[in-house]
Amino acid sequence: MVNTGMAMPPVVAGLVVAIFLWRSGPLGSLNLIYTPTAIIIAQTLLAAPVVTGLTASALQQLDPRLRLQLLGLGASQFQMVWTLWKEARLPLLAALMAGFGAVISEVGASMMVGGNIKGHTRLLTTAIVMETGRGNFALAIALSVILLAVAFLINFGLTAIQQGKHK
Amino acid sequence: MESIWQGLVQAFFILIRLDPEALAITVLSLEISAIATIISLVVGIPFGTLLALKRFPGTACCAAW
Repeated sequence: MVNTGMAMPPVVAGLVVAIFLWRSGPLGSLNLIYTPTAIIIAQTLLAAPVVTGLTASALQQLDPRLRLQLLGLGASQFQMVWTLWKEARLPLLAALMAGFGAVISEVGASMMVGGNIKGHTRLLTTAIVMETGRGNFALAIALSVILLAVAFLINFGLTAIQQGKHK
Repeated sequence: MESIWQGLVQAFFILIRLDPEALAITVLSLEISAIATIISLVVGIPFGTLLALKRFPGTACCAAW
């Protein structure tokens, strides 16, 4: 479930969320379709399996004897989990980066449930699709440069934290 | 080739004058992505931990399917 979820095509997530939030759909009365909230729901659906899968594999990489030792030393379940998280903080940061990378660059689901409404649900990715379709390459290039710069800066910052803690 | 070059030049000017519309789109993108990432972490880290540490009927199915 998780590993398939990690490879979930954004358009499928977008379709599922759109069906649920559609005006005549099960949650249509909430009036969430074509709102930023709808985009957040769809993107969470995409990123959560990535974070879950990478967290699980990060913790499975730890020596299983560490758990036994912690419990043997009298740690509570909560203290044990907390220590494991601290021990696996580098791969957990990688999970964060993978999740963020998936949502910032995603376009299909945002387009479907957000609608690319100017000043309301227009994102960098959906704007690039639209401007390219219109042949307005200057703006599309400018937005792409911004998108790349944002993704680079955030990953650079997180990598710096990751490597800094490593020393 | 000419139009690509023009596009690059215009893109440069859009960037250096901090076009308000482009700026608003960027801020919204960051907000939405940050919120979605935070919710994913809040949901995904505990669930991933459970998956890694506990053996329950259907673990293999749950992880791989």
